[in-house]
Amino acid sequence: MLRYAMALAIAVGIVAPAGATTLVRAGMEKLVAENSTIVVGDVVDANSYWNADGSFILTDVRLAVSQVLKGRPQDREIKITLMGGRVGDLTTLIIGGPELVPGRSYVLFLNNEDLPGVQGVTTVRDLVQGAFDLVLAKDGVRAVSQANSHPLLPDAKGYVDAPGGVEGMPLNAMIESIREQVERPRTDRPEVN
Amino acid sequence: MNGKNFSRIAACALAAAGMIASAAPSHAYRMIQNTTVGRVSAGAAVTCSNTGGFAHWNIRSISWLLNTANQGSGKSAALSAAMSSWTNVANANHVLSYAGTTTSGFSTDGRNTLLWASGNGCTGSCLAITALVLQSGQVIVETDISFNNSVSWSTSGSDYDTQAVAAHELGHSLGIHHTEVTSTPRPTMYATYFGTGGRSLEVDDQSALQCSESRY
Repeated sequence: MLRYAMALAIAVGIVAPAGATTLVRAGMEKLVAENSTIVVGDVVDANSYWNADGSFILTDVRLAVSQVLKGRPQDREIKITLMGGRVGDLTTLIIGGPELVPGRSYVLFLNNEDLPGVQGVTTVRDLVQGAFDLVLAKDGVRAVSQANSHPLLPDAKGYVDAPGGVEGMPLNAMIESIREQVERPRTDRPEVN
Repeated sequence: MNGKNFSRIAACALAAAGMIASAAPSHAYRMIQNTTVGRVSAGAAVTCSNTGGFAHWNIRSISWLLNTANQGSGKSAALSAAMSSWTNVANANHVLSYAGTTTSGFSTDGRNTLLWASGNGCTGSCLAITALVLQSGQVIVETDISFNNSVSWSTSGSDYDTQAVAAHELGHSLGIHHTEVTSTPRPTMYATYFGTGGRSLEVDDQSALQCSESRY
């Protein structure tokens, strides 16, 4: 298993090209503990715009929530604000930001943060590490971290691979694990890697 | 100057692409490509000869301002050294220079800014975040780098080394993606932080900048 994990990490290091932003790996325990809201949902649309003082392009993403794993979103459709986007012929590219495409499904780890020109908005705090693509595999739906396309600095335990690795993890197992941690938080629970 | 007021700048000629392609090894530097409408995250990693082009400047002199708030104080020498590494690449005429201090933040204001802050989308597990502002034709018109003020930054060689990280991030600001070279000595554009070794550019890093300049 360790050999597999190391091989996976090496493979990710070789083929994972994306990102200038420098991120320390966040394991599942950390993602669950440090984000206030965790949901499964489908992106309805995305709209980019200049913030109020015209200093930064932001993008509002509407997400139709199908499952709430942590937190209490007020509606079944929530707004997530991301830095970057495209307005006219100008694009602000956030290296290492999450990619949320209308029509696709995700597990998202969300928190209220200050972004340029706006305060306390719901965003994907951990950037690519906080977004998991839902993909259909032979054994069902799997959640694949977008951080597989981004190199990570080792966490305190020395892990560098994104939770689930390049193949991701079964969605149902991920949901069960998250709910268990939310309901009975423990510091000694092993990482879901 | 407000970001909305940038005038449209046409993309430069692609004539050198074919020649560059034949010279580039299969596992080497890669460039940042962003051609997807509305894409907000990292662009694709492509070869210098990719027909879709890549992010690039169409000016040679690029100046940077430092916001000295928080841990930005005392970092100008390390940042200047990182800039010099790219300026000194032979057969490439980009000149990166430190132009003094600013109170600007992580905003699209026509200034290339380096700053230390808590926020700007870089909290928690994020050490530093880079934004590229592109016009049509993937022309870079501004870049800003925000270092996470919640972690400790050093100029004496201990983690996290300001000069090494800055050299890497400045490489991205020039449109260069992570290299596929994994052997030692590791290029500065190697995907993961590896200490002060990232301060000095390797041939692979230099080739990336030379290739970009040849194409554009």
